[in-house]
Order: sequence, then C-alpha cells, then structure tokens
Amino acid sequence: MALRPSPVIPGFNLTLGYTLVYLSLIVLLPLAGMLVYASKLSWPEFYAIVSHDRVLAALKLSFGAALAAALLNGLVGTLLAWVLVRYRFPGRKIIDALIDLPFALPTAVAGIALTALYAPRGWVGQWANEIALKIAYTPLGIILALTFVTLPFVVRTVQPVLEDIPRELEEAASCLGANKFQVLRHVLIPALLPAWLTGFTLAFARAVGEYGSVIFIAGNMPGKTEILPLLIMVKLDQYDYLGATAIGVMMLAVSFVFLLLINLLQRRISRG
Amino acid sequence: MSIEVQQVNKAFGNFKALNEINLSIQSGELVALLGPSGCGKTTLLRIIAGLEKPDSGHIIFNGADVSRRDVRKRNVGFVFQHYALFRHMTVFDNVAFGLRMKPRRQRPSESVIHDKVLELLRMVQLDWLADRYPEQLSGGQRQRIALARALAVEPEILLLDEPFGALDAKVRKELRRWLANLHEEINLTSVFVTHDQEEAMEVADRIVVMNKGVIEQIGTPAEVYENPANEFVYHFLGDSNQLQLDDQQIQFRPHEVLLSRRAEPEHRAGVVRDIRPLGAITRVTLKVEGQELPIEAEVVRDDASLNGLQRGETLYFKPKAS
Repeated sequence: MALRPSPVIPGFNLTLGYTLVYLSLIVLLPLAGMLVYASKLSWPEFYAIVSHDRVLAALKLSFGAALAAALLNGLVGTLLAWVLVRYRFPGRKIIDALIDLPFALPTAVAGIALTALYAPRGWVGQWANEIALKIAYTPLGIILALTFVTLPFVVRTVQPVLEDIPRELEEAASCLGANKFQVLRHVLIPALLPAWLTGFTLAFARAVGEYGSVIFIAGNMPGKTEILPLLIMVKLDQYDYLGATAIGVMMLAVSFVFLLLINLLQRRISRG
Repeated sequence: MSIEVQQVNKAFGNFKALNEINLSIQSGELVALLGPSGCGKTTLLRIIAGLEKPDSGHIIFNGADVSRRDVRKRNVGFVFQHYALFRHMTVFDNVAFGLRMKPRRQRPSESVIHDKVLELLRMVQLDWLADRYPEQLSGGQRQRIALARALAVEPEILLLDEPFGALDAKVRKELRRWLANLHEEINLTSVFVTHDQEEAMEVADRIVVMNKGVIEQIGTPAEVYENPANEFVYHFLGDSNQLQLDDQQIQFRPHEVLLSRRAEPEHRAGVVRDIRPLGAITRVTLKVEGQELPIEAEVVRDDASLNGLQRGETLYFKPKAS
C-alpha cells in the first residue's frame, strides 16, 4: 500500500478517514455486531447449531446453487456481452437495456413469475414435465432463479473490456498463424479473465445471499430445497435469534473464504 | 515472393473503396502505397494480407492464386498502425507467439524458440526489453517489437499499415531509415501504406499513388516526382505554386524558382512576406500583385539574393521551368 497523497483528489487524510468511517458504519459495524451477539454462544453450542444436518444440507445447496448460477452466467453472460459488442443487429439496443431489468424487478416478483412458468403446470414446466424434468421446487429451480437475478453482473463487467479489445489484436494473431481456438485461448480469454472473474465473483456473492426470488420457486423442503437465508428466517420466526446469528456467522465465514480465494486468484492472473 | 493484384474491386456498402486495381510487385521490392486518407490504400493492403475479401479480382503470390486462401495460410507478416501487441504478454512472449501457435509437428522446441526470439530482438536492438510488457515501452519500441513479432514466423511478404503514423517526427525519421536498411539486409518483398509523400520517397523502391479507389501512377520516386501522370499526383507529391502569367496559369514547385534582388528580364516582382530558414534551404514567401495566392520560393540558404534580406523588401523571381 502506498501512503502518498493522490494528485487528483486532495486531502489524503480526509478521504481515507471518510472512507473508513463510511465502511465502518455501513459494513463493519453490522457484521461486528453479529459476531459479538454470536459470541454469547460457546464453541460447542455454535458447532452443534452449524453442524446440524438440516443446516449442512442448506449450506451445500446455497453455495452449490450459487456457484452453478455464477458459472452459468459466466458462460451465457460472456456470450451475451460478445454478441452485444461484436454484432450490429436490429433490437440490439433493446436487448442491451433488457440486461439490467433483473436488477430493477423486485426479486419476489421474479420468483413468482418464474414459478408460474416452470411449475409442473406452468407454460414451460408442462413441457419439461413430459420429459420427466422437474424444474420448480427442485435445486434446478433455485439455480434458475439465481441465474435470473445475477444475470447483469458478468455481462456488465465483461462488456466494456471487450469493447476495448481492438479487432486488430485478433487479426494480428491470425496473421501469426493462430486458429480461431488459439485466438480465443491465448488472446481473448487472457484479456477478459480479470473482468470476467470480477463479474463471476459479484454474481456468486449476490447469489449466495439471495432470498426473495428463491423462496417461491424452491419449495423449501427442509434438507432438500431449503437455502441458508431461508433457514435463518425460519430460526427468526421461532425466536431463535442466537441460532439465526450462528448460521449468519457461518455463511459470512464461508463466503469470506471463497471471496478471498477468488481475489488471490485474480491477483495472480493480473500479474501475468 | 512476387505479388500480383488483378482487377480487384471492393465496396463497403455504397462506398467504392477499390476500383479495378491492377498492380504487380516484384520479389524483394519495397513498395509504398501512397495516398490521402480514404483512398483505399489500407483496404488494398488488407486484401493482399487476406484480412479483407475482395468483391472480385485475384491476388497472386509467385504465380499461385491465393484469393481464397485464409490469412493464416498466406504466410505474410502484417504490422499494424497501432502495433496490436498483446498487452498481457511480455515482449518475449509477443515475439514468440507465432512460433508457439504452429501446429505441434512444425513447432520448434522452446529452446529453439528462445534463441530465435532473442536473435530477432537483437536485430531490432531491443533484446534488453525481453521481460517488459508492451505498456512499458515507447511508441518506437513497440513498433519495432511488432516488426520482430511479424518476422518471427519467417513470412515471405511483409505488409506494414502506416507503420510510423503514430510516432513523433524524429523517431519516425530514424525508424524509416532503419526499416530501409533492414529491407536491404533481409530483402523481403515489402509493401507499406503511408499518406506521407516524404516517407514514401525516402524509403520505397517504387511508389503506387492512389486516390479515390484507383491507382493514379506507379513508378520510382524519381519518376512520379519528375513526371507526374496528372494534376493529382503533381499536387500530392509536393508543394506547388500557381502563377497567373498574362492569359495563362502556370505551376511550379517552390524549389523551381530563381530569385534576384534586381529587376531582370522575365522576372516578376513580389513583396517579401516571410523568411523561414529550414536548415539547408530557406523558404521565402512572396506576395505578387494581382493575385491572391502567395508564391513560395525555396533556395539554398547561402543564395546571394537572401543576403541581408528583410520583410517588406521587393524581390524578383522567375520560375525555372518556363
């Protein structure tokens, strides 16, 4: 970390101080409060809560589905960004604007709409049903809802970077004998990877914490389609505040480890 | 390797970029495509490279029609105006790229690649930068790395698109002399695009002057300068003066003029507006009565007429040609 004043924004002390106060009030204090509250539990009590079968099942589902959704969006989002940047077609602007809609829509509305569509009697669900594929009320439905909610992240992080990659770069690579796959593998992907990873991380983090859209389509069967945020709500409904906090702390710890790993990976990539 | 361009046409929408282009380039020649922006010179270069497909016509390398051959198979080195270096790779990896992309059976071993890359970097005098990233280099250095990268795959033709366009004047001059020397050494058939007539004159064996999608003239620098095929070529290759003489208008280059302090037969009078010493020559701007456009005269700096000359004095001039 460089402790020298930035030439653009004056007052290093002021800006740093403001940043720290802001971060403390908005992010650190609520999290610290949670930790303090959870410290009322002894280690064995804490362990007993978080190692409960139902909690572990929800943990696996929450993180697994979030990872699946983030990966899916990592693929499809990159493809979308590619199409929007590289091709000119009627309706491109409209599609571009549509990308952000999942952010604007209340997540509950998204959840209900998706459930209506993909339930066994819904428009899409009945076709899926015929090939014995159940979407709503299964982990598949949860992944679907999470994919919908986190769609913009990868698109919006990859898009500007892709716009900045000149066509010449690909042409230079083909002149040097690289085939399409090699251009993708050695020129485009390395240039996009840092931005892609950022988008992926955002999508993943958002998906882990998502609640509103999932609870409608998940079916919420304990141990099967119950996600961690819902479990926390269940505990709260039963006035089990300590139990809810313990699960919250565990989610926080697991998320932190994940994000830290991705961050380290990103630093290694950008260093080349 | 010789290049033959036959009846090539290319349009972008309604815009006709190239119109019936015919051109033949001999093996080992260094040819400049010269013209104003939008004249189609870059499009022609890209068609030769295979980066662009002509609407009709043929490109022939050493007698073989390559019109339908993919860029990757044409074995041309292409140097882009803005270098197009791979930002996430070191200078070394950039130059090694072409060798590493070869199909496994033709790919040299890493140690051979290493030696070859260092040899190329020594040739462009930048071997000490092997571990740097492109963004840490100056424009001139980047351009030389781009050249080394293009040469790594041993192309039979070297194509350069405005290779010095983005560089400042001094680096530009150095680099184009360097390119001319390099061409002497390796004698690779080379075509470069430029809008700078001085650059074309200084470097090329032959110049192809283009305008609005057609070739106006092909010839050695001396030919196109001394015997321009038409008005366009005449004007594009250098500054010119227009002078109204009685009932006719004549044109001459700034250096094609005699100056005198005293009135002499066939000389016209002009008032000195500006005196610019430009090194070996000095440019004098004259205002001639009865005409809007000033006359520019370029004479050697120790020309007798310049001795103690001041603005506002009257000078007598005569176009050499007439």
